[in-house]
Amino acid sequence: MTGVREKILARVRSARLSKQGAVPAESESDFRDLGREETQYSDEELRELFAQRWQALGGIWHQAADPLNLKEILKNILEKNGEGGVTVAPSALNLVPELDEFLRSQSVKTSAPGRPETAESSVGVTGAFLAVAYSGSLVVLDHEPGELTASLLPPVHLALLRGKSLVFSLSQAVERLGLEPRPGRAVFISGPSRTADIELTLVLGVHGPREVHAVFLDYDPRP
Amino acid sequence: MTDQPRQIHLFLPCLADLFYPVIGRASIKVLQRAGLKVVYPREQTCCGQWAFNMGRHGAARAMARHWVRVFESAPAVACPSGSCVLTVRRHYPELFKNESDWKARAQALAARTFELTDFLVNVIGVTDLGAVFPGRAVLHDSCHPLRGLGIKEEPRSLLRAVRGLELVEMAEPETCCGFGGAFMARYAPLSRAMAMEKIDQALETGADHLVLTEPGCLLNLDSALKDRPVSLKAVHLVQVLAGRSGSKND
Amino acid sequence: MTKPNLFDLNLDRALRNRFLQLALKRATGAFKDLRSGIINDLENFEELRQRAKEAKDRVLGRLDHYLTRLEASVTQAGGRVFWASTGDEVARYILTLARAKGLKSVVKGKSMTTEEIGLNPVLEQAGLEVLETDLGEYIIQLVGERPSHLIVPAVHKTREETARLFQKKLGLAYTDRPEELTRAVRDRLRGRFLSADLGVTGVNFAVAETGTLVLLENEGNIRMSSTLPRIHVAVMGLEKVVADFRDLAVLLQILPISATGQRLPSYVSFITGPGRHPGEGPEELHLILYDGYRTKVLADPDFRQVLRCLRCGACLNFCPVYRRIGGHTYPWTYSGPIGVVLTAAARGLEEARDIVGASTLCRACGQVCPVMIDLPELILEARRRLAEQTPAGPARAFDLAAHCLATPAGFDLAARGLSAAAGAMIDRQGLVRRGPEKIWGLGEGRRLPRPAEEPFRRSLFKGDEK
Repeated sequence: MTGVREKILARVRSARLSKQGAVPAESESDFRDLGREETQYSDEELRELFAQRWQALGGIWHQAADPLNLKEILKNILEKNGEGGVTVAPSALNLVPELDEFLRSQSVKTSAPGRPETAESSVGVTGAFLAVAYSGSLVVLDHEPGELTASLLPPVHLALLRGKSLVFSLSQAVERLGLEPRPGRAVFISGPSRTADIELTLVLGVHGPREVHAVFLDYDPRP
Repeated sequence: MTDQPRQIHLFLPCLADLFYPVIGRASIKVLQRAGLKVVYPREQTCCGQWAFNMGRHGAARAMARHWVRVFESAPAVACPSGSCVLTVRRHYPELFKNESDWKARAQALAARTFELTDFLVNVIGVTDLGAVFPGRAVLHDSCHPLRGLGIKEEPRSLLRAVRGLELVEMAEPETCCGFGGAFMARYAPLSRAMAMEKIDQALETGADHLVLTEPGCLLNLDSALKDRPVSLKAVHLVQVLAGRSGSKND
Repeated sequence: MTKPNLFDLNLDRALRNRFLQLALKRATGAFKDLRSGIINDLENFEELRQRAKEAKDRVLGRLDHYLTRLEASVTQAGGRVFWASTGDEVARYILTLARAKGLKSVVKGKSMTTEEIGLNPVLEQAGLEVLETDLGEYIIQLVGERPSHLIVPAVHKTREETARLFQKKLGLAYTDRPEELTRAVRDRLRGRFLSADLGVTGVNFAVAETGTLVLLENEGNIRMSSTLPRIHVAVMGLEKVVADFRDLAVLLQILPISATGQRLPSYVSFITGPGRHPGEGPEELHLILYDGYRTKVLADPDFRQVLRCLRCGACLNFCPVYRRIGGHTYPWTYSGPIGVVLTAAARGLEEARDIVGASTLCRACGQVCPVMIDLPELILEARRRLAEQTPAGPARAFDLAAHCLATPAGFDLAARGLSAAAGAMIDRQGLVRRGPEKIWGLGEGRRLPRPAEEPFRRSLFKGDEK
């Protein structure tokens, strides 16, 4: 195996041409230069833009004014979808610690995060590390177990979101990700899973969730 | 432009020379109307684009050298074809990359060689030539002037100044009409499909004239129209500017 | 001269396939419109193209440095890196791995690189169960065909054809509704994702600085394939490496815009090393760095720029020839303008001869390429190289003819000859009445233009006397 590696590298090196033209130096621009669209958004404008783009992609948007409001929102979602049970990932609990208790009070079956149970639930609840207004995307990280499967396996994904997670540009989001001390896995989620492979007809909900909810906590859940 | 030439040498594409001599006559008339003295160097032959496009650089070079010799004394050169001008500007330097003398001569000449609408609008600064041409016209944006030379508005500015002419736009003016030189004959069914779609879009606008800035596109679409029992006529833009609405052999 | 060959026959068949024409027109039209829509909203698209080109040239100019950096980062993150020169080596690595770890069932994400290698049949022949999980790829795997478009590989299939296919191969009750067909595939594949031993995917970008693999998709099958099975093998062409997150940010913006007119597709996965938690990612991550044609093309001063390609498909969507002939008419895995130049550079001029010729040089492709590959000039360069191969005799004859044409007398003679020939062959309506069948198929009934009675050069105009 080492033989092949050396041969490939040797071929690459000998492909250095005399008439190659200048090789661009390391990029001197920073992430701020790259997302050149309007970057001076207020928090409220950022949230509005995110909501607009998220919904344009088929995502469902909720705003919870306070804990009671949040519970109402959750109840509604669960009434329609909660039959197979709910998986709550650690990131959601970190944001709203009383979530488990609330679900129990609603007699909703909860499954532990991770397989195989998450594969059977109807709803996966996670937090969102970032929300990117430019593309209407939520970012889920695997800092803790259960995050990736909770946002992938159940047909409904519910993401809890705080104002401070909002950024405008993709570049800013990528930069923030790059700053994470222990890079693991992340996924940018921009709406439900989709395909147009059959006659270009859009179908939502292929292998990933068919329904995604972004629930914005318009209050500080942990004052 | 401060330094406007009073004399212009006409570079007539070989396709126009052989198939649509009316383009030659109309170009002269239009340039005269714009206040220029027109010279037609009779010794010109062809810029060699067809050879270049076939990859035959040796052959193309022979034609390029002759072209440079013929036009070198011109204060400026105008041509009713963007693809010929593109050949001179972009491909002559490449052809002469190993002959610095020829390359310098070609580049100097290329700097004062213009596609006709570019010349009228941007060099001479004229859009109104007093033309009269009643009818409804739709313009096809030929590939080489558009994507090679950035010419988009110039033909439109000129057509809008024509009295009695209504200018309309087709759905996809920038899509290739299927000429492509030898392509038209070698891949005739493919070329024909592309031409027919262009004609369909022109017909949808209700236009009675399909206007081209390229003799090659004119050749292609004119031929295709012979298979369509419609009254749409394909003409070169200079024919409209010269105020004529007759047949090709005018 | 030329006579109808396989390419001509395939071309003819494609032109007469009315559904294909309709499907390709719709698909390319939709992608063009979506792309234009987004670009109109952006102020800096041309700048983004320039930066994307630089980002790619940066790694291509120091590819050995970035590949070794990537290898170190991936290894440090707990992944394993394998270098492969040939498709054979890729397949053997995977098979050895499968034997060692007892892997039997494979779920596969869409990967042009593995198509290029022809990986699936080799794995299947060795006894592995390989399931294409991208819906379009799933469909064509079932029917045993090649992809016809980069992004929507089964676009040439009608819903009725798909319905019949599912009925026959999957025992599904007949339905031609896309939602139901999709649901059927989802249900079928879900269990397979959950039970598969091995996930094999491609890679869109591999960040050298951090060892992060970036994978884009809309369906979720790549997330499934790279998260659920205990082993994930990612196969990437050498040119997929990206320097750092700054360059990644640029490319991540421009690729979805260019490909499907999306700001981002439904999912972008950032994968650094194997899973951190049991069941939430594979136990092992293997990255295969695959050469194939890449070092060969890297050494070609004109064609090396094709290694910038992001596989977005924009050039296909804008090519007036592609959209009439579809992917199956091209000789190799890659179609459209990028397919033309890549085939010429990687597989040789002979294989590319027909498609290099079947271009009008309209230049639409070069205008839309997100990484500014000069596709039209490369097509011309391929033609130049092909012309160089003409045997000495005919080449000299051609040059001689050109030298004659370059003189006024010679040109005049040729003009008269053309007039005479046309007069003999073509009637006033432009129909070829008599003619050599063999020369470019210019048989009877074809239309050709007739030269004018008198060319302009013989007119009396001598120049103004003013």
